[in-house]
Parts: sequence; C-alpha cells; structure tokens
Amino acid sequence: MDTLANVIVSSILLGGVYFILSLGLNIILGVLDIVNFAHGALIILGAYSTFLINRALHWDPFILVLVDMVVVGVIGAVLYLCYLRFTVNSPLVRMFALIGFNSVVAALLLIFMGSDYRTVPIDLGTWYLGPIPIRVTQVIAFAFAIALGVITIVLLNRTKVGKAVKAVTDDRTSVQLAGINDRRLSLLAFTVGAGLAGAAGGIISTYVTFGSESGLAFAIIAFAIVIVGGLGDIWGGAVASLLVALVLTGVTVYLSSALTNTALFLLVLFVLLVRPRGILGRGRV
Amino acid sequence: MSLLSSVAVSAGYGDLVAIDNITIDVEENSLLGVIGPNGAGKSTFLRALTGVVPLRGGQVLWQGTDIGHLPADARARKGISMVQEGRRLFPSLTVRDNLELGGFHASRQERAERMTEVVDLFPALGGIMDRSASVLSGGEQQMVALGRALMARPQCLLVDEPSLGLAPLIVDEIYEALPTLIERGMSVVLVEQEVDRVLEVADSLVVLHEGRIVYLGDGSEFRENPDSLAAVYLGHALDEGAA
Repeated sequence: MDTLANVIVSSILLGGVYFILSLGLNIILGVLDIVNFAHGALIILGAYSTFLINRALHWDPFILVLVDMVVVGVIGAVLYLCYLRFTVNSPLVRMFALIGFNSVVAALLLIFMGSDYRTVPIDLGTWYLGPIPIRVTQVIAFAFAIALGVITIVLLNRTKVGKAVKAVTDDRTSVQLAGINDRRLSLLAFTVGAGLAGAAGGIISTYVTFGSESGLAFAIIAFAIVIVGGLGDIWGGAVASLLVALVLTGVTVYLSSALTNTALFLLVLFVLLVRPRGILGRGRV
Repeated sequence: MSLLSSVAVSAGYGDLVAIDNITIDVEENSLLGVIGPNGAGKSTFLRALTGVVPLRGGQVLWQGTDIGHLPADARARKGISMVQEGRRLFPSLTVRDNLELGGFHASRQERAERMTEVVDLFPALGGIMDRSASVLSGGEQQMVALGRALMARPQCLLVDEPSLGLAPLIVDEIYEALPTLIERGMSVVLVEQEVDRVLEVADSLVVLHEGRIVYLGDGSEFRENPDSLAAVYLGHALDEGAA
C-alpha cells in the first residue's frame, strides 16, 4: 500500500515537471504548426545552462530556471529568425533543419562538455507525508513547473497578445485581416516555446543526471505527452503529463525500468487508436 | 481620388488564373456590389485587395498609394477590413474576445466605445458576449464577424457573401446595418450571390464572369430590366452587357 501511495505521489510531482517539458512543444505546434524536432536540444541547453552557471557562480538552481528560460528563449528566437521563418512552405526542409540543430547541439556539447553525465548538486532534505518520503527538491521543482505553466496559461487566456496567439492557432488569415502582425506572434510563440523548453531543462537538471545526448530521451517523453494530450491542447497536455508520469513511474516500480519506453509507446498507440484527438478529445488529428 | 482601386489586377491559385485585369474604383461613402456566378472570381478579388492572395499583376491603390506589396495585416491597419466567406471566427475564444481582437491596435477605452457601437448595430450580441464563438448560430457568427471587422473602425469594409446559409430574417438584419455603415463614412464592397439584395443597396455594381469584368456601372439597367442581368450574369451577352 505504501508503495502504491509512493508511486502516486512521485507521479504527481513528476507530472508537473513533464507538463512544463511538453508545454513549449505544444505552444509551438499549436501556433506555428511546427513539430519542433529541436525540442530535445532546447531542453538540454537549459539543463547545461543551469549546470554551468551554477558551477561557475553558485547561483541557486531554481533561480537559474528563469535564466535558462531567457538564454534558451533567445537561442530559439535566433533559430526562428535566421532559418525557420523562411521554411513556411517547406515542412520537410524544416524538419531536417530542426533534426540537424539537435545533432549540432549534441555534437558541440560532446566536444566542449565531454561525455560525462552531469548533475546539479542540490539537496534540501526530505519531508515525510505519513510514511512517504518526498525530496524537497522535487516539491520545489513541481511548484516551479506548475507556476510557470499557470503563468503561461494565464498570459495566453487573459492578455490581449495571448488571445491573439490563441487566435493564430484558430485562423491565421483572420488574424492578419484584423490587422495583427502574425509574423511577430509566430516569433513570440517560438521564443516562448523555446524558453519553456529551457526552463524545463533547468528544472529537470535538479531531478536527474543528464548528458549531451539526453535531449532525445526528454523529447520522446514530451512528444508522447503532446500526442496523448491531443496536438495543440494545453489542458489535455496537463492531464497527459500526469498519466505519462504515472505509467513511467508505475512500470519502473512494479515491472522494470527497461520497459518504460515500451510502456510509453504502448500508451501512445492506445490513445491514437481510442482517442485520436487526445485524452480530452480536443486536439488536432 | 478613389479610396481604394484595383488597377489591372490579376491573381490566382497554382496554375489557375482566378481574376484577370480587374480595374475597379471604390469611392468614399459608397457601396460597391460585386456579383457573378460561382467561380467568377468574386472572393479572389476581395482576397487580392486585402493581400490574402498575392497579386500576379496590377496594382492595389489606397488613396492613390500602391499597397499591393504590403502583407494583409499592414493593409488592414491602413483601414481595410474584410469579413470572409464562412465567417471564420476564432472558435477557441469568446464573442467578446473575437470582437476585441478586431480592435487590437485601439486603446482600451477606444475598444470599449467601439464595442458599444457594434452592440448598438447588432443588439443580439449584447447577451452573448461571454459565449464561446464555437457554439454560435450562423446568424450570430455573421454578426460577430461583421462586428469584429467594424472594431477596427475601417474606412473600407469588404464583405464576402454575408447571406450564405442564413435565414432570411437574419439576412434582413445584416442588410439593414449596411446603410448605417455608409452613413458613418465607410465604404463597403459587397460580394453576394443574392443579386436582388445587392441591387437594393449598391451605389455601383460589378459583374464578374470567369475572372473578368463583364459589367461595370450603377446597375440601373438591371433594376429596370432584370432579364438583361441574367444574360450578363451568365456571360452570354457580353457585348450588350459590358460597360
């Protein structure tokens, strides 16, 4: 019974982190119709940003999440301005460019950071929820992730620019005809999406060890969440994050950690068969 | 000087030339009706004026200045608004949000004033402001689409088939609003399948057939002799019908 309770609590905490892991991917997909194959690279850049600045300046890793957001957001903006905006009519070219960006980032990290797996040293002790031990770091990571997610959703739903970004996902031509510069909104969406990926990387760096090639593993989880939640459906993504965390944690605890990716793909396949528009039925096909 | 002019405008999709050599002036405080059979190029003409479809030739002049190279959003900011066929609302947003995005560049106070004007024009919108645009009836959608375009306080409003799929009573309500817009100093370009309704409200009339102008005038001939319109409309008597 304690084990089950432990799995549930761990899954909730991990689900919050997974939500922020997938949120940027979802926004970019929804607004720009871009499947961001560079998402893993952006996440891992955030993780390394936290690691390097923390090692050099000893800043608090959770403060650095905000720095990661800016750093990776700027990288995303440069990627969009210098390349992606010219590939609107060439999705295949764009896909290869984004995969190429992943490879370049992984190669550069390997050259400059080596093949060692890294971790951001942070230990704030352990709380106990009855018999269930909870690392304080995980609670703070969860709180940061949820706060960032809530702020993003509030900005999308409550501000004029946020509503315009949502409107682009509905009908880009109507946005243009309303006199709104949709190109700036696209840049903003990609920058925010990249920034959120960077923030997710920073948060994850306090959670697990990572290396130059780890971006792919994080990206697979993020893609699975977006598919399970429904393409472009942010609330669906939130529910899917919890579900994916529950499945991965449950499989690790009750079966074997070697089966986590298998379980993830089975979950994705099941949802695609039963709920092709995502778990809440509101995503794109 | 005309408010909006197309000078020898051509546009199309892929290999298809949808409109060819269209030269039309839209005068201030007037309503220009654009009619023609399906596939005549009426909607493409509006989309070319707004920049949604790129020009293949010719010029679009706004108060004498060529704006043909500007993207659609920049043309809209100059004062050209368009209500697209099928309404094309933002279904993930409420009616209020849809309207407010129409006045995106206005101040909060200006938006509130314009919102009041829109509700005065279409009182039915007053009670559904917080309803999702995804659950509106066709008539409500059309009112929101018109209201959204008016929130930009355009000098020139382009409306594509406002009566399509709507009950006659709703269409009446929409057509009753058009003279009010002209009184407010606006020019309207109205693309419509319902010829009789256009003849009732238009100051000038264009008939398109297979992407070309086959009539340009004030439409008086057709009010007196509706049969002559049928011939021009179908592209049969081009010599007699063309101005």
